[in-house]
Amino acid sequence: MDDLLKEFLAETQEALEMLDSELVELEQRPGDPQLLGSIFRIMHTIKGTCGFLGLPRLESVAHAAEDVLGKIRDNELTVTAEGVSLVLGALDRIKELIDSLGQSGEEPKGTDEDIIDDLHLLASGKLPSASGAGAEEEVSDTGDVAAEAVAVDESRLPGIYQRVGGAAVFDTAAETACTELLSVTSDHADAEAEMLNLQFALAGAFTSALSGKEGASDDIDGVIAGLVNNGWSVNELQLLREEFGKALGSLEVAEEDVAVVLSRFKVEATPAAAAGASVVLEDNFADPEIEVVKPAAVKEAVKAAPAKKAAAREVEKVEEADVSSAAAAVQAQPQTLRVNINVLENLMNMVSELVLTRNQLLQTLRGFTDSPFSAPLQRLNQVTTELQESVMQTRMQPIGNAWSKLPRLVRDLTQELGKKIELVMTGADTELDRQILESIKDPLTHMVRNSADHGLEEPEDRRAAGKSETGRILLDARHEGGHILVEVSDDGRGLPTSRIRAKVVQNGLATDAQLDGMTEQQIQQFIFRPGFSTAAAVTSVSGRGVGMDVVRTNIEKIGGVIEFTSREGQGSRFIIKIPLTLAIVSALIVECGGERFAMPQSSVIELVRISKNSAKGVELINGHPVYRLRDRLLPLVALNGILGLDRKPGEESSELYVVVAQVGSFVFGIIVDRVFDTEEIVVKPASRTLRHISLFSGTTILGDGSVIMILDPNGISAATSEVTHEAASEDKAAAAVSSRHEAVSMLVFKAGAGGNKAVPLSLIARLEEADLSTAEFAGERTVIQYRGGLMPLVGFDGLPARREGHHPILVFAEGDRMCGLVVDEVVDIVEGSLDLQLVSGGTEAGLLGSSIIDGKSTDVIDTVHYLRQSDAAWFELQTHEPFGVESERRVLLVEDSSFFRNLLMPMLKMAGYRVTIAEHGEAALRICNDENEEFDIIVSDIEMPGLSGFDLARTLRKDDKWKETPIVALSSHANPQDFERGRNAGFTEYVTKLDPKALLTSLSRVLAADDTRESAA
Amino acid sequence: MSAEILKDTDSNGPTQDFVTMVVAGQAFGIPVLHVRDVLGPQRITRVPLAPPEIEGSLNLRGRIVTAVNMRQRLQLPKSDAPEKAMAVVVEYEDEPYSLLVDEVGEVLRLRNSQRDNNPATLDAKWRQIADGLYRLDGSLLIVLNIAAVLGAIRAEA
Amino acid sequence: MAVQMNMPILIVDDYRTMLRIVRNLLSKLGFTDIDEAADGETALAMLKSREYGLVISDWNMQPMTGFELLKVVRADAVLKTMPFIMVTAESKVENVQAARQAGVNNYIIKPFSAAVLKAKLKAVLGEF
Repeated sequence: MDDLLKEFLAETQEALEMLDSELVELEQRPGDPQLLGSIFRIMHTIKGTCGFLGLPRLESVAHAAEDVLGKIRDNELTVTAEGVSLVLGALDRIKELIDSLGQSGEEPKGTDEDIIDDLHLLASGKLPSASGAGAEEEVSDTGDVAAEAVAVDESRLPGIYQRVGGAAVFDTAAETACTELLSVTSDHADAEAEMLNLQFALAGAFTSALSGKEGASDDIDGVIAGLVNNGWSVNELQLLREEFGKALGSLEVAEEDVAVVLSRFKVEATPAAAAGASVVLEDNFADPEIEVVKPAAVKEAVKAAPAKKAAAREVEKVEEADVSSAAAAVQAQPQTLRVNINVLENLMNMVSELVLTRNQLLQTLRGFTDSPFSAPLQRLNQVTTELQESVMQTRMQPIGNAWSKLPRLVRDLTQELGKKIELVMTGADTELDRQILESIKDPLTHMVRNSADHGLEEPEDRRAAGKSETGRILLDARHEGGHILVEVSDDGRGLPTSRIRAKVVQNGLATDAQLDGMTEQQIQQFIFRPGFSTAAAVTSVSGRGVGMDVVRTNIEKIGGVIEFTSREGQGSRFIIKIPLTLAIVSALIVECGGERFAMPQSSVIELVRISKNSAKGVELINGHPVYRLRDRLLPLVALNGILGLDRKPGEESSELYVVVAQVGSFVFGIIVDRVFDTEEIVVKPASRTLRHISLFSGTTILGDGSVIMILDPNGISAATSEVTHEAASEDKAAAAVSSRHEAVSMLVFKAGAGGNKAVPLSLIARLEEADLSTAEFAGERTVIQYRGGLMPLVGFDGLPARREGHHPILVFAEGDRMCGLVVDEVVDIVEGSLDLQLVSGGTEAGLLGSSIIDGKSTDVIDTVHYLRQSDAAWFELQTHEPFGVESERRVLLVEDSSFFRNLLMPMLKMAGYRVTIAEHGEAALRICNDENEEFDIIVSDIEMPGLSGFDLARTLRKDDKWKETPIVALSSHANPQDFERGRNAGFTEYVTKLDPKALLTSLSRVLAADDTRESAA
Repeated sequence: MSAEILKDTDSNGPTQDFVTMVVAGQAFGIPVLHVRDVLGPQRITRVPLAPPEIEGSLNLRGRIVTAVNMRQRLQLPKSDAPEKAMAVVVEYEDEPYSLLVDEVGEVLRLRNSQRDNNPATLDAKWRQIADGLYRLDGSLLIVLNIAAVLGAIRAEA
Repeated sequence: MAVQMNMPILIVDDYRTMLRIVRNLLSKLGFTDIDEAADGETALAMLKSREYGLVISDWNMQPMTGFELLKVVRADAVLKTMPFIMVTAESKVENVQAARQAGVNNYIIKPFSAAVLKAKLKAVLGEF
């Protein structure tokens, strides 16, 4: 296809998308001149460009729509829903034409008369539904049906207007002819201006006569008659005719066509014809032989020319426009530059290469702290990171771009469904990677459609339910941590859980007994199961065979998560959480059958090493291999099996690795031969010849230059047995839901060997950097001058704290006691939520375990371990601190999340409490029922599967032994209702678990109050 | 008036340059303008589950290139020395492919008038992928139709 | 007066396709030095930084229209004699009169052929 045509298509498609939402806005704000102006302008430009490209169908549809918009703008027509519908119809036709143009490179055959006729009727105020404000004039124009056939060389007449080159040619020919005439006949000062009028009269008359306007054929006669009445001689008229013909010829109009055109130029027109044209005579020329028509006369003559009034208005507007204000408007415009997307992609690729090279360098120089390369490398590291961020930024687009079609969609649905719907969009300027933007367009559209169709009620139903007639669909986007949250909600009837249950049972997705064990929210997630649909009747709107399962699949493909909540009678809500970018992701490199592959880290939960000889934990269930990991059975899939790779016989190793992966709520294990490091990889699409292989999502180049394929966790999960999939996902759904809201800030840093380390930010008092060569040894401890005192320093993992150069120090403080932990580099502060789960027990000294933070496996350090190193007396000293007075108080901590257990327990211990752990409500009850157990205080999570914190508190309060014991509720989100509910259930206090210090203060206060109470009693 | 007045003119010279190559003794040519690069033996990563013609992927200055084994594609017997395969890099539908051939020869300038449009006598096996041929000193140079060679792989996919 | 075919010409349009069309037409007529501006503000800056022989600007642009650009050009001490051709999709005498009053040298109605463009250039620049 022609490059020019390609560019036209791309540019026009952009313009059309913008137009769509603006037209819908127009209906709400009919009078908005700015809106009208911009809509008119786009149509106008499309029309203007089509003429160059030889696209008559597009041109004529755009032209007809432009006419209507012009009249609306000039207040000759009022905006009505029907009018907008008609223009939208024209837009749809234009899009169809553009689409088929894009496919075949040419306009399809066919006619657009249906649409154009309707638009003309609308423009002339004749369409009954459109109210014509000032349409009378136009009515008379088209009303005069005097299509008088002229009997000259008729065979060449059809298409002559297009063939000669349209208005531009008549205009230029008339100009040339008039200029010629002027040069031979007059040098009068005003003559030029008058000639301009003649030129326009002439060009206008020919244009309308030959472009096939009804009743316009006698315009030419009228102009000539006007000239005759002004005293033009036949000779002069002949001269004009001749020059006009010559000019046409020089504009490359075929001789035969010139003849046809000139046949309309009837010099022998009689003055009698002129009487009808009512021309005013006036002599304006010094040269008495030549007289030229006055503007007024010409205006009369070209009366039939359409849109005259519009033109006059446009000129007035133009003249009123203040140049300085226009310049100011220009300045307000952001400075932007259009860059080809390929350039950006290339830039991205190069930055990716740079990132990889940087990684290699860092790897190579790790451990050489005294290398002369250290400082420049540090700088390179920093600049690379900044460059990467900037380039990523260029790929960012506001999510509003994916929403632009929705107002139109909702508007159409409003009419189709007979509902009243208001679409509210917030956060449209939230930016995300263009690739992700493309991927969520369709799912979002589907959800909005779903809300309009199934979610919102008919107006009468809404009224009966005491709601306003107009239903509301809310679209909201916002940043949260390293993710984007997109929410689609409505205030409709909601999706009754009872109906979901019925459907689930009916479709055999679960049994009643299974459902009984689930929470309402778990049951609601069934709507994402394949084949699930609650619509009683398939409507034309949503019943298109696309279910929510497809939506979920699409979201999960880009590493996103979708969740659904609904309240009967109050509405439904979808929350989508998606990553900011897909271009550079962190991936675990694995080997299988001698080939390496990249596994996106976002899907990896943990790694398990299995000795092949014992293969402990691997079992067969129904012939499917499963692995028993702690309390859970994971379905297993061998990567070499599904990839058809043979293990090389000589390379039998005694170990296997299981990559525990999660897709949506499905957790499974992938058996691989070896596991390497994680690497930041640059995702490149796989070749077309490989794209059908569902086990791969793309390809990438590693730091060592080799090309490897990126595994698609979705494809692999599909390759594992469907039976195990369903069974496991039930179980996982519960865990996913309960851990979803728990978020905590982690400081991520590098220190010692291995990957990133992390520590809860709330435990750190300050971040400092100091020259460690100034550190001193004081006995067995290393100390440094800090804030006018000496601060003990500890190195990570047994490393010496005193060394060369500046290093970051994490400062932990309690009261006036401090301790500094020397680390290599502070990487980031990460707002972790869903991914934050401690995955193994704290077996190694100094580590609590490891956790997936921001997609990477990260060791969470045990701060107590280091504090104890710095000062063995730390804990004794603690007892003098405000919340350390109650040393050796016994606390029962009830918490189902291992992460929070591991976070809170060392803290409580640090503060001097003796801690007993219960992993869920039932376990807590069991412990409490043991006669020997005594606790001064019970701290319990609220949201736990099975026995909730509320239930636990209520049960304990009935027991004489515990009815007086303070019970503190822990919650990740505290609000007044929860607080009230907690108090009613028997809780003494309600604190948020995200703030460990607040918890300690609160414990201290509660216990103090309890002591007072006890001593009083 | 139409877009034709706006098109850049295309000069059809009387000769065309071809990069020549040999696969299992048969000579092939690709118009030199279509050849992006010629490479010696490369490290190629094999791709599991890929169509049999796809030898794998390789890294060409940061671009990932799909390697097509021309012997396999043309259903010819396997090479005795696959490690010596040369790679001719071409672009098809905006994607780079490297055609693995036995040898790469010189660039030949050939007269358009000498070109034969696939004669009926041409082996059916060649006709699908040929874009005409030249008779040179008793041997045959088949002009490769890149779209036909690569398009079919995709179609099977 | 002979028209220099290497005379720098500035074309102004906020539609990329149109810029390309006008450029192609000018090249077809033999002009070799053609610059583009996608809006009036950029055009002004370019006009001030280089000596152009001709400006061909679209009328209907945003935020600064071709008409506004024309007015600024004519109000500028240096640029006021700059040959200026306006491109418009409407053939309305009122528009052209307004543009003439503001000092436009000529105008072209869209769509137009190379022949039409040549005739207009001749009318403004003289024979070539």
